[in-house]
Amino acid sequence: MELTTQKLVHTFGSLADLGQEVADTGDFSEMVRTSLHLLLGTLALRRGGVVECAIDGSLYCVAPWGLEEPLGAEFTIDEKEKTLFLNGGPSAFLLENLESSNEFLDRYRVILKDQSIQVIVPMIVRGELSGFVMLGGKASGEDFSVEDFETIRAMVRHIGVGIHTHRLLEKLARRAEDNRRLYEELRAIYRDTVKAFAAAIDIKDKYTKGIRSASEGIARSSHAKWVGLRRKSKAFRLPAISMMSASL
Amino acid sequence: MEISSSSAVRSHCVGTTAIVYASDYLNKLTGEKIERECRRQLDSGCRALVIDFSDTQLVNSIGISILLGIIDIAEKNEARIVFSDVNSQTIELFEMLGLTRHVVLARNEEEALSSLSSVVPPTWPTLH
Repeated sequence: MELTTQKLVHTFGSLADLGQEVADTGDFSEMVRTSLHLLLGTLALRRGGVVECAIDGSLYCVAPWGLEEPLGAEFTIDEKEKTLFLNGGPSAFLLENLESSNEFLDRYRVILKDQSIQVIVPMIVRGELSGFVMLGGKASGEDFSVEDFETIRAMVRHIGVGIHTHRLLEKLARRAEDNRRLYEELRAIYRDTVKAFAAAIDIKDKYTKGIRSASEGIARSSHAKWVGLRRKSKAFRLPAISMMSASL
Repeated sequence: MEISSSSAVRSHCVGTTAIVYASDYLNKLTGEKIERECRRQLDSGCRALVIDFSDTQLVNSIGISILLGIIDIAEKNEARIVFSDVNSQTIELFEMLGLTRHVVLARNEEEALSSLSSVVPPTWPTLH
């Protein structure tokens, strides 16, 4: 098989696996770790890490691989630096490129190089920087080609969307839990209010005055009667239904 | 010779060399098992690893990444590593991705063991 075709087949396979992985609603950390493995395995990169960007500009490593220690714990990024990543081309993300006027890279270049990181690729989702994928060199020892950058960017885009989707799902689950709690609280308040009203009516009413929880007793017996009636009506209904079906 | 299959990956030791058998499809699940087994063998004192690919039909990207991780671990432990009985398609893939720069390929297990027992050990390039 021709080398280009072989590379293409290998990359396609990785992209297909990546698509499946990011669409999976399973464990978040596992999804990011597997996605990183897929990216590293596509180009045979020996190390890398996925770093997420918090709202306050602090960074934290979600998935490290082959690194001495997780990257990004001490890193911060401001809005101006974020914009530079949004508008920068692939060459701007190479740590070797000293001509790049990216303050973020200048600030952490030494730390990143110590960890053998060569490229930093921004994860951009819906026009916002959600984090970075930091990558080491190729096992072949070759430099990154334009095609490699295209592959990396395509895969990083997928990973970014995957992370974003998982975060949205987490947020949704939190909101649903908040709503459920609010509903329970409102229900309890409503029940207590009704009970208070009933008690007030019992006191005011001349027939129930002095009888403790008269309304509650009536409610309980009504409920018991209703349950009994329901059972009876079911018993009556069943032969009627069977008769109807027989006539059909 | 010590034989082990406790972690669902077949392996055995010949002296201080561990021979670990890869399964038919080297993906995330099987790759992680092989990685664990290699770590275990190195932790228990093995100085060389032979990964046997005789049953392996396919290696995907995650498999490649995990194999690179194993090479890394072996380098850190100053252990040598040989891939044996790799099929032609997988050799092409390893060559294309540059894995062959870091491992010795052997036709079979015997050749792998004899290459490891050679007097002059191969020099291992360090990647950054």
